[in-house]
Amino acid sequence: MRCKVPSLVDLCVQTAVDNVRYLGDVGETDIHLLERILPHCTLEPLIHVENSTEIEFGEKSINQVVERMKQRKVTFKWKQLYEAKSKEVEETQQRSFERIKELYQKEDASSGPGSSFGNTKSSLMKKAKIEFVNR
Amino acid sequence: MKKEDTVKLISAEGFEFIIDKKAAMVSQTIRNMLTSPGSFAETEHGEVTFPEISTTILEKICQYFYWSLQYASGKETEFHIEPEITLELMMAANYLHT
Repeated sequence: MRCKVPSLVDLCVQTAVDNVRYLGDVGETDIHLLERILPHCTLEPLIHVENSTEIEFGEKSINQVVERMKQRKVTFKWKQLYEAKSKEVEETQQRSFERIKELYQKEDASSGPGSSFGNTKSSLMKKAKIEFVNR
Repeated sequence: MKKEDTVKLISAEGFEFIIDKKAAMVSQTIRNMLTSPGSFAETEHGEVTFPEISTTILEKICQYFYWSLQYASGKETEFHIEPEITLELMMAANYLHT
């Protein structure tokens, strides 16, 4: 008797299919559930889903990695690549932090307390300060 | 209603839904939690916390449990799902094997 009651998952899939034109970010949704919904999409909803779903590392990164693996004749698992890429992003971020910190330190050392932007040595900081004052 | 016949389902925000055990058992996952051998806290207290299910979604799920019982007893009505909660509800239903 119980088995003929539609499951909530089935009801949701049905509702999603009926409202496929309102689909947005599907990044958090399970692939095997999306497999039941997305085939019902026409071109327009698909484009919308593609645009509203956040992708961390896009097509460019994938193509780059495929190219490099071909060149060096090596293969990696997706997970390894993802971890490597995440690390790279983090390192780049860290480097920019360090650079900003350094610039600030240089700035602090060259100009004493309370000085204006007149005796700034770093040209980047000088430019930034002038722009700030002239706003 | 006796306390043994009910269970308490707690949402991510801490909202408590007290429903019939029979209704909650519609979910295979909750059924397993409540009936598994060994004295798990869930079985002992009849209380299950869902830190990843929001109150809105859990309420809808409780409605589904009762709808499902009605449907099984021959009252075949339609279960309405608001389009804007569909995906979130689907993920929760998937987790609950419902």
